[in-house]
Amino acid sequence: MAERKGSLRSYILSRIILAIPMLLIIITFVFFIMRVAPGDPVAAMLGPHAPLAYKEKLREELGLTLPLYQQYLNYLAQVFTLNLGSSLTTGDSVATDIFVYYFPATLELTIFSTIVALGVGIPLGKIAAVKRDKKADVVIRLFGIIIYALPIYWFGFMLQLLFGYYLGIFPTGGRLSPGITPPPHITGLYTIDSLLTGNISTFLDALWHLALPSITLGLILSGVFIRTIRVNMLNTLQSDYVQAARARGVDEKEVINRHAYRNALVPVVTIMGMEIALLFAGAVLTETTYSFKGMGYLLVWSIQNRDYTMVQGAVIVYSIIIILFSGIIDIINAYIDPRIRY
Amino acid sequence: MDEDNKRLMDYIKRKFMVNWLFGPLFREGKNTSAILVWVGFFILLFFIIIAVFAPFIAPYNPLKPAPGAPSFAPPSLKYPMGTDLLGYDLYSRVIWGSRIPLEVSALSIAFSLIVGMPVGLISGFIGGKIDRVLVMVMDSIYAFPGLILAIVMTALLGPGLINVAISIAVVYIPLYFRTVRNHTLSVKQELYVESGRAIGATKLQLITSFIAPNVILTVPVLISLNAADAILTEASLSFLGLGIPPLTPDWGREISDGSYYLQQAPWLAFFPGIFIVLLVVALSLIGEGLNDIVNPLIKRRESL
Repeated sequence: MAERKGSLRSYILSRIILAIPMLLIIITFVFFIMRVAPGDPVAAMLGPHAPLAYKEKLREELGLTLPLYQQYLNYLAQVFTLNLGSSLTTGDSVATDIFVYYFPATLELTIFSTIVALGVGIPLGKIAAVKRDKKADVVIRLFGIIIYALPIYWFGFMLQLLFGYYLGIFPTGGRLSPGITPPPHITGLYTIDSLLTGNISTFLDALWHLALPSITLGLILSGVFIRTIRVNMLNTLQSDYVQAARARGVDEKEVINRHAYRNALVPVVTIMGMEIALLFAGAVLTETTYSFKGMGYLLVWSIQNRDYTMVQGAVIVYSIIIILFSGIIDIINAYIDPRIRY
Repeated sequence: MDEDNKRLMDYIKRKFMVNWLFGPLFREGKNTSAILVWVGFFILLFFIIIAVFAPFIAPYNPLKPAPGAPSFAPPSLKYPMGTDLLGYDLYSRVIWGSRIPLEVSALSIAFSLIVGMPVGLISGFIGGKIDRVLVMVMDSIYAFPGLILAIVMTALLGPGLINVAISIAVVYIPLYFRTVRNHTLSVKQELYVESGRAIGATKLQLITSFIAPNVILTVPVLISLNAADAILTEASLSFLGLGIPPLTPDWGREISDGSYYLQQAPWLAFFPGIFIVLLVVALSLIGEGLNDIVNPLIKRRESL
C-alpha cells in the first residue's frame, strides 16, 4: 500500500467509518448467537419443563415467531435507536437500567482499576528492565506471570478475607455503606457525583468501597503492563540513540529516565487499547465477586434469572462500548505517534 | 569429513534447539527461560497424572460426603484440604476436579484449531476480498471481550462439557486464524512456494504440502500460550455457575461454592484456586519459554 501522509482529522474520519462495519459485524454475530445458535432462548429462559402454551406466548411477545430477516431488521432498529426493550423480570427499560445505573458503576471500576494497573505496572516494568537478569528482574517477572495466572474472583476472595474479614480495613462488597444515600444522579459515577455536589463523606465512602475491587482488577491487569514496559525499555536501551547518548557521556540515570523511559511509555496507550476487552471481561468477574452492581453483575444476574432481553441489551451495549473505546484509544494513539496515520 | 560432521552436528543442534532446550538440564546454562519451560512441563505432567489417576489418588468419593466427616473440618491429615458444610472431602473433589478443566480446554483448543487453521490458511493463500472480509469479521469477534462472549454462549447452549468447549473455542478461533493467516501471507512469498508453482503444483497441493507444514510450526507456541487462557476461561465459567452441571467436581465451581463460607471455612475457596494458579502458571511458563525460542525478539547483546 502506498504510504500517504494523512492529517489527524482524516484518520479520525476513517476510523469512525471503519467502526461502523465492525459494530455491524459484532451486532450481527450476537444476533446469530442468540437466535440461530442451537440453544433456544425461550427454553433457556423458561427451563425445559415449562408448558408449551406459555412458551409460545413468550416467543410471540419477543418477536421470535417472525421470519428471520424481519427479526434481524427489528433487532438492528433496536440497536440504532437504543430502544432495547424492557426487562422480563423487572419490567424496567433495559436501556435506562444499563446507562443510568449499571454502566456508570462499571466505568468507575474500570477507571480506578486502570489507574492501579498503570501505577503498579509502569514502575515495576521499568525496574525490571533496568535491573535486567538481576534478582529484582526475576522477582518482578515472576510476579507478572503469577499475577496473570490468578483467577480474578479467587484473588478477590483472598483479598476480601485478608483486608475485609481479618484486618477489617476495607468493605467486602457493594458500592456504598448501608445507610448512605447515593449522591444525586449526574454522571452515575458515585465518586464524581459526590464531589460535584460537595458531599465529601459520600465520596470517601464510595472510594473506600472501590478500593478492593480496583486493586483486584488493577493488579491482575498490571502484569501485561509490566511485561510490555520491560520489553520496550530493553529495546530502547539497546537502540542507537541511547548508545549515542551513552557515548557522549550522558549519565546512566539520565539515559534511563530521559531517553529510554519516555520512549518506552509510548506503547502504553496501544496496550490499553488491547486491554479494553480484558478490562471489561475482568470487570464481570470482579463485580460478581464484590457484589458491585455494574454491567457484569447485571449480565450474570440476568442470565441466572433468565432475563433474555436484559442479556441481549447488555451484550449490545458492551459491543458499542468496546468499539467506542477502542476507537478513542486508536485516535489518541495516532495523535501521539504520527507514524500510525496512513 | 570431520569438518563436515561438525557442521552437520552444529546444524542439527541449532535446528532442533538442542542446546537451548536440553542444555540447562545438564549444565549450568545462561538461559533461564529453558529451565522455566521444563518446570512448566513437569507441573503440567503432574496435573495430567492427577487427572488420569484420580480414582486411585483421591481418598474419598467426590460425589458423596466422606463417611463420618464433620462439616467444615479444617485441613488435617485425614482431610488434607478440609471438608465443606455437608462433609465432602475437598481434597478428593479438587483431585477429581482437575479432569474437567483439562478436558474442556484441550477440547476447546482442538475445536478452535480445527476451524481457525484451515480458514486462516485458505484466507491468507487466496487473499483478495474474501480475505479482507474474513479478517474484518475475525478482528471484530476478537475485539469483543472473550469471557463475555463465552458466558452468553454457554448460557444459551446450556450445560455440558462439549457446549462449554464450543463456547470457549469460538473465543479463540480468531487468534488461530490471525496467526496462521499472517504466517501464510509471508510464507507464500517464499521462493520454494514459487518453485512449487512453477513445477505445476495445484493450489491444494501448494497449501497442503508447501505452505501448511511451514505454518504449522507456529502453532505449538500458540497452543501453549492459549491453553493457560482457556483454563482460566473454563474456571471463570464454572465459577459463574455456567456450563458444568451442578455437583460435578470442578475447580471454578469449588471456589464459587466455598466463597459462601469464606469466613467460616476459608480453605474451601483457597485450595481449588491454588490448583488453578499452579496449572495456569505452568502453561504460561511453557508458552513464554517456547515463544522465546521460536521468536527471539530481544536478542542478547553479548558485547554490552
